[in-house]
Amino acid sequence: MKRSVWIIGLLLPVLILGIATADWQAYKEMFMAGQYETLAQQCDATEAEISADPGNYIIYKYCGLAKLKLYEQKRSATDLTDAIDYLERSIAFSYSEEAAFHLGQARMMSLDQLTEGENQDERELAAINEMWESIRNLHAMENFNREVLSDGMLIWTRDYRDLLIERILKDEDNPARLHLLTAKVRMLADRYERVDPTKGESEVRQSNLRIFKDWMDELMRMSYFDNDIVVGMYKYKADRHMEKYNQTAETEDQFTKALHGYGEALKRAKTNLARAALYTDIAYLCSLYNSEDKEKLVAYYKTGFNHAHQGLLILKQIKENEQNTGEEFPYPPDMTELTSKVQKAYGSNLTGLCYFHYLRKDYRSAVAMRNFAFDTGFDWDGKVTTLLLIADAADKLASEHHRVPKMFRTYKQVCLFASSRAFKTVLKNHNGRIPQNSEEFCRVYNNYINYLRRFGETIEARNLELQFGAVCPQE
Amino acid sequence: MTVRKSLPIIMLLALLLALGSALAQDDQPAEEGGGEAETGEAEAGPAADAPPAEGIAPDSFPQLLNLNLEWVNSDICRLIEELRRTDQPQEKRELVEQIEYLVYKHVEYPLVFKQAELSDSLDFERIGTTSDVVDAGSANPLAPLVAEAFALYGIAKGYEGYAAAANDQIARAKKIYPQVESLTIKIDNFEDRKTIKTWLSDTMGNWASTNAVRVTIHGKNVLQKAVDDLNGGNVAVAAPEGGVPEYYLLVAERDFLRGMQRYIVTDDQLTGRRPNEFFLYLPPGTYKLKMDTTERIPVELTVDADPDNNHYIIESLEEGLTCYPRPKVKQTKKKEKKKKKKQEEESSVLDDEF
Repeated sequence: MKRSVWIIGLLLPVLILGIATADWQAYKEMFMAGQYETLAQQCDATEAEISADPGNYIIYKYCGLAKLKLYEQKRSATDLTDAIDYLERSIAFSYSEEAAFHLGQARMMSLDQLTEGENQDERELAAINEMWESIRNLHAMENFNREVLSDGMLIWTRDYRDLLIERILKDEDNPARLHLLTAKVRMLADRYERVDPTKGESEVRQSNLRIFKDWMDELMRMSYFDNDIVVGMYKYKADRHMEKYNQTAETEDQFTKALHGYGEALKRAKTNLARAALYTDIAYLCSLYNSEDKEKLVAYYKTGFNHAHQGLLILKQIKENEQNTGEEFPYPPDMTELTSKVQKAYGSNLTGLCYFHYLRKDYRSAVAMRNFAFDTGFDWDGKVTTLLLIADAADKLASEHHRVPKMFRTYKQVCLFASSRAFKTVLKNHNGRIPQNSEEFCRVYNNYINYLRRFGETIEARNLELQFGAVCPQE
Repeated sequence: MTVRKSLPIIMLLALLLALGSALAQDDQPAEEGGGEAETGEAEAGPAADAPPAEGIAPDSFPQLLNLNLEWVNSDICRLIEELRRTDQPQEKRELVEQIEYLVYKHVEYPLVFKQAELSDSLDFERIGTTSDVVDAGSANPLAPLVAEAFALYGIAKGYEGYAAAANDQIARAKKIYPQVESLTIKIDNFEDRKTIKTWLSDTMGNWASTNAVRVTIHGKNVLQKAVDDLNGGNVAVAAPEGGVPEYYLLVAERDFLRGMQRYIVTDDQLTGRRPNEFFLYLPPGTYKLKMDTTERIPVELTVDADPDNNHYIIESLEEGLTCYPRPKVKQTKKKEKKKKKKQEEESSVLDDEF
C-alpha cells in the first residue's frame, strides 16, 4: 500500500505536467518534424479547441508557420492568408519575435497580391518594420556586445536581406521608397561591422560567420554602387547566384539568373566605372559556363568575349580621363583587380571561341578573331593555344586557296604572324631564356619552325634552329 | 509523527505544488520551449518560445539600453544619409517619418513617456534613465545618447527644410546634454565621423532660409475615441490665402495626426508628468484645420511670426475635436508678476548699493 502511494505520488506530477504542456508541444513537434500539411489540417480542424487552450498563441504561431511553409511550397494564396491570420492571432495574445518576424515575412509576400489602392506602401513599410523590430529585439537579447551571432540571427538577417532586395527591385519607380529601403539595407549591413568570425565557437560557425560578414560588407558597398541602389542590388543578387553556380547542369539556373541580374544592372548603369564592372562580371561569368551543348557553349563564349571587349574599351576610356571625377561613387571597384579580371575573362572567352570555331572546321571564323588576339597588350592562360589555333586555321585556309595568290599570301602572313607571336609569348613566359625540357616551348617552337619552312622562310627557320635546335630536337 | 508517516503527506503537498506549477505553465507556456532553435527548416532558427530577457542580468539593463540607443542613433544616421542624397521633399518625407518613428519608439516612449506613466502610479525603481534624463541633464549616463537622438532628429528636420524644428530639437538635446554638439557621428557611412557641431554649422545656412514657425498644440480633455477616429483621410490643413507650398500643408497634416496619436494624453491615460503637447511648423498666415469629414466648419489657425503667440488648445467636443487659441490672460499676469519682481529686485540691488 505504502509503495503504491509512493509511486502514485511520483507519477502524478509527471503526468499532470505532461498533460498541461502536451497541446502546444504536439503542434511544435509536428512542425519541427516538417509535417506542415498534417499540422495545417489539424489547425483548421481544431480551431475551437485551440482558442480555448491557454497556450493558444504558441499553437497559432506554429499553425501560421506551417501555413507559411505550405505557401512557400505550393504558392496558394489561401495558405498565405491563413498564415497571416494565425500569426496575427498569436501576436494578439502574446508578442514573440518569431511570430512577428514571420508575420512581417508573410505580409511582405502578400504585397504582390494586393490590388491598387490597398495602401501597398503602408503595408510594405509595416511589414518591413515588423521584421526589423524582431531582428533588433533578438539582437538586443543576444546582447549587442556579442561579436558572434546565433544561427537564428544569421537566418533571419539573410531572409530579411533577400526580401529587402526583392522590394527594392519592385519599387524601382518609387524613389521615395527606394531611399528608405536603401537606409534599411545599410542598417542591416551595419550590424555585421563588429562581428569577428574568428570568435565563432567551431570551424563551421567561423566559416558561416565569415560568409555572412563578407555578404554584408558587400551589401554595404553595393548599396552605393553606381549611386543607384537598384543597379547595386541587381549586381549583388547576381553575384550571389554566381557563387552558387558550380559549372554543373544542376546549377545552370543559377548561371541564367546571374546573367539576367548582371544584364538588368547593365541596362540601368549610368557611370562608366559601373558599366566596366558589369561588363567584366558578364564576361567572367560566361567564361565559367560549362555544358555539353556545344552551341550554347559557343554562344556564351561569344557573349562573354563581346562584353569583355566592351569592358576593356571602357576601362581604357576611364584611364584616359582620370581627371574627370564626375562619375564617382563610394566604394568603387579596385581598378587593378577589375582590369586583371576583365583581361582574364577576355582571354578565356577568346580561347574558347577560337577552339570551337576550329573544332567545327570554321577556319575563317577562327582566323577572323586574329586581331582580337594580336592587339592585346596582355597575356592570359590560353593565349599561346589561341595563337596556335589561329595559325593552324590560317595554314589550312592557305592550303585551300593556293590557287588564289592574294588570299594565299594573306593567310600565310596570318599563320606566320600568329605562330611567331605564340613563340614570342612562350619565350617571354620563360623570361626570354631558353628553357630546358619544356614541352610547351618545344611544341610551339616546332610548330613555328614547320610553318616557316612550309611557307619558304627557310633562312629564318635555320636561324631559329641554330639558336634553339639543341633544346628542342625536330620531331 | 515519524518522517515515514509524514511522507505521503509531503508527497501530496508536492503533488498540489506540481499541479499549481502546471497551471502556471498553462498561463505562460512560452517559457517551456526556451532556447530551442527552430525555423521550420532543417537549419537552426532564432530561440523560439523563449522568455524575452532570459539570461540577462538585471544590472545589464543600462548597458543594453545604452547599446540599443547606440543602434537607434546609428540607424537614424543611415536615414539622414539618404535624406542628404535627395532634393525632392516628397522623397524626404518618408525618411523623416521613419526617424520620427524610431525616436518615438525607442527614445521618447520607453525612456520618457512610459516611465512618466509608471512613476505616476508606482514608486517604480526606474532603470536610471527615463524622464530623469530630461530632468537631470547630463548627470545621467544615457543623456548623451538621448540628446544625440534628438540632435539627429533636428538635423533631419533641417534637411527637410524646417529650420525652426531643427533648432527646437537641438535646444531640446542641449537641455538633456549641454555638450551635445561635441559628440561625433558618422552620417555618411563611407566618410569619417564628424562632430554634430560641424554638421550644424555646415547646414544651418540652408535651414535659416525656411520660414516655418512653431505652432504648439496643447491637449485638454481629449477622449481616446476622438483620437482613434482620426486618420489620414479626415485631417486636412488648408491655406485659404494661398502662397503656402503644398508640402508644408501636407507635413502639417501628418504632424497633426502623429501628434494626436503619439503625444496627446487622452483621458484614459492622464498623467501629470507626461508631455501633453505637440508642434506643427507653418509659415505665418491663416490656416483652416479640419479634423473630420462632416460639414462642420474647419477650425481657423492664425500663425504669427513669433512662436510664443502660436499656442492652441485641442479639446474633445461632443464626439469630435475642437481647437482654439490658448487664452493669454494668465501669461500676461505672469509677465506682469515677473516684471514686478524684476523691478523689486532691481530696486533692492540699488538699495544695497547705496
